[in-house]
Amino acid sequence: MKDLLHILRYKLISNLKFNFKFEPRFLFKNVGSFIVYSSFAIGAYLFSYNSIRYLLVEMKIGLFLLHEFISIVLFIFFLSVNAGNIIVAFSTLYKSDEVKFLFTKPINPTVIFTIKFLDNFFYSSSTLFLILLSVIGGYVAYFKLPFLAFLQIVLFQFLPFMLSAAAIGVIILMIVIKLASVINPKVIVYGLIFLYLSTVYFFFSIASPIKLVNEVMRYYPDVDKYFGMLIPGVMNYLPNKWLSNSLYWIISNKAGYANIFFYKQILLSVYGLSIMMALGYFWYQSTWLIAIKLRKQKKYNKDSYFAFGRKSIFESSIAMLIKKELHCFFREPSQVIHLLILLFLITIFMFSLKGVYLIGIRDAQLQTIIYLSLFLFSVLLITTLSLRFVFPLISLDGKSFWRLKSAPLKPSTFALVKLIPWILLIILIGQMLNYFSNFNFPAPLLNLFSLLTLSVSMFMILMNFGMGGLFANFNENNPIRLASSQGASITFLLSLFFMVLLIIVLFIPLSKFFYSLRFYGTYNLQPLIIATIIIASISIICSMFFYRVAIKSIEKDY
Amino acid sequence: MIKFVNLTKKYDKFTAVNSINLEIKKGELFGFLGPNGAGKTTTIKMLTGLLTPTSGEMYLNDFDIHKNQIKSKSIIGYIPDNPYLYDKLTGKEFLFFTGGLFNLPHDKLKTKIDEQVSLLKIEEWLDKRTEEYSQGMKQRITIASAFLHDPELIVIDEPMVGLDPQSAHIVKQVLKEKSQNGTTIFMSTHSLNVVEEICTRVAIINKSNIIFDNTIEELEKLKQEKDNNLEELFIELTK
Repeated sequence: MKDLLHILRYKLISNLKFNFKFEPRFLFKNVGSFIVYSSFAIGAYLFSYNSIRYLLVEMKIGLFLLHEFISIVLFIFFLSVNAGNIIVAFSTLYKSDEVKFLFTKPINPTVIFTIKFLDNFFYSSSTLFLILLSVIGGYVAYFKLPFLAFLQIVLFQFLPFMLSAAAIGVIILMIVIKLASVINPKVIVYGLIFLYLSTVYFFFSIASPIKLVNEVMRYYPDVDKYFGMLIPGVMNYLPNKWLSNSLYWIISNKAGYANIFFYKQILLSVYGLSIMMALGYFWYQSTWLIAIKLRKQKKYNKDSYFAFGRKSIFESSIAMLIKKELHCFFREPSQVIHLLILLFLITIFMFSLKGVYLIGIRDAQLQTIIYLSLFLFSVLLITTLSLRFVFPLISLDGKSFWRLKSAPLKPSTFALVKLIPWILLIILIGQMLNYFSNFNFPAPLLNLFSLLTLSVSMFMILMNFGMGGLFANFNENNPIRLASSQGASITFLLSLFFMVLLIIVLFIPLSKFFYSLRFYGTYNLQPLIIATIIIASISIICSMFFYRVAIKSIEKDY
Repeated sequence: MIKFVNLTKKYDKFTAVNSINLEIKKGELFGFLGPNGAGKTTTIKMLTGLLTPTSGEMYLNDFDIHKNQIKSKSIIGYIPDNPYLYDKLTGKEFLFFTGGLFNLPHDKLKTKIDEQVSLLKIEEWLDKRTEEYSQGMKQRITIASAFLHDPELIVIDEPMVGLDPQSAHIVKQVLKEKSQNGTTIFMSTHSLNVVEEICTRVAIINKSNIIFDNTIEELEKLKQEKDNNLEELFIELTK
């Protein structure tokens, strides 16, 4: 315990070190960060408040459905925190230099394990916590709950909920590493991915939101009451359901009913953390050694098409840069697994779009809102991909960047080799999203939005690349931490501003389009063409600007 | 071969290198000495394009290094003090990668890799990821990678760090041979013995300024005045 507190004390000291300088650059960066985080907090608060208001007042879905939707979002959130923790914990618990350093000191491995778990949980979740607190703030404010209720929800529901997700993630990770010493690690990783995907599939098969909405709406307008009988029994064993149920009973002024869900949530996190700590006590050091052994056992296919020893159709320097990028990407499990998960989610979204056919809807304004929302969600997916994979690109060379900086390479060659594979992939995904959301609509609309998606994709990719260069951190080689850093948050905020601009420019031309289609059976594309030209022009100018920013960042002192 | 004219590097108010002037001839094995924080690595980083000088000029074969970065980098072989490698690549892949960056033809690159591998005795480790390497192994791979394109100028920052005596001996021999064959070597080091053993010329930098620049023979004369103790001389000069 003494060791634990001693190390935590020094970690805290190093994290809280704040050297204030009265310099314009320093002030700009810190004031900028303050504005960004405040905007995030306010934005999340307003989003939460207004979404609830919209669903309850405009859509009139009732309290029960609202909390069922919250439960679904929480399920995805639980799985994301859980899977994210497996990936991040592998880096922090098994690959970090700090762990190597601590293992050389007379410290109990369980202490190292505890420190790294806390480090992992609080460091990687700090932005998430901020957003979450604001979202809960919006919820509490809408229902006019007292501050004590806010504290109660945060401390006794959300915190244990997230701790359970994280602890289960670490438990799974340790079991996976143990198994990997006897079974082919690839089989285990693929098995785990299959398990997660099946879980998502079965969840939505059992708790179909569409079916639930139809069944609850049969009781309209009496939709605030509790329709527990419509929920499959198995759902009552899930922590997301406990959380949403407790919220439902609190705002229904039946706090007594909520207590049981508080106990369940806290109990699960206590169980989860206890099992995790027990496994950490028995297994951490041995699994750490297994992880080292597994890394040493890795064999490489020297005859593969992308092997460094093979001749290539490209100029030698370009071929080697491409191969380096590919090998570094595919040999980093967190990169591959995250990309596969995101591609899977995007595929689900694409196929769910297939059924969206809004021509028949009577309200042109509602059509516009739904169409624009779907378009913005596609843009959000493009933004997520860019932020997660393009933003860290320059930093990922890390301390090996000297090799590229001192080689006879133009910065543009280096930049383009990094960018082109992502440009191709993200543009392809953008176009597929556009096709699936538009193929039921007139072809000219599909073509216009194809152009729009193309320019927006280019903007998002190049903005993330430029900002990734501007906020390059060559001391951090964890792509997930890079993609959730201060710079990444600022970039995400800029993306949100750009999305607001999209709404401003597109809303009126789109409403006119759907209005004339609805009432006259014909359409005038001119306003939409002008809107597309405006967005494309802004995108091109900004993309060029951010590309220059990236090149300047590569050229600056290393 | 190399010429620095009033070369300066400043970080805000701190001057890391203060208006230094140096001229190094082709084939010289130049030792760049100085205590920690004197400005050795900053000078080397400017020479290899990792840092931009605040003012002054640097010439390599009469062309301005800063204005002809690609041309200058293509004839420099650089070995940094901390040889960070791409930890997801194996040693062999790193050698192919580096050779490729200098646009070496594929077959020539294979031959050069084989040569360097046997010279620095790194066969055993070549197919393992560099993240598993010891400091010395990383250093050997970095040295091998710097020699692949037969550079006209080799820039080394602390060459003997992490090397075992056998490897250090090999590296010293290779540097001597290369220098005799006309390759210029710019070597920063703390090791006074290495300087005495292989360098033909020495400069000492202290607190950002050059305080000694002469041949190794002149340094020997000064050393004799100090009871043949180079360490004493160095400490006195850099007080």
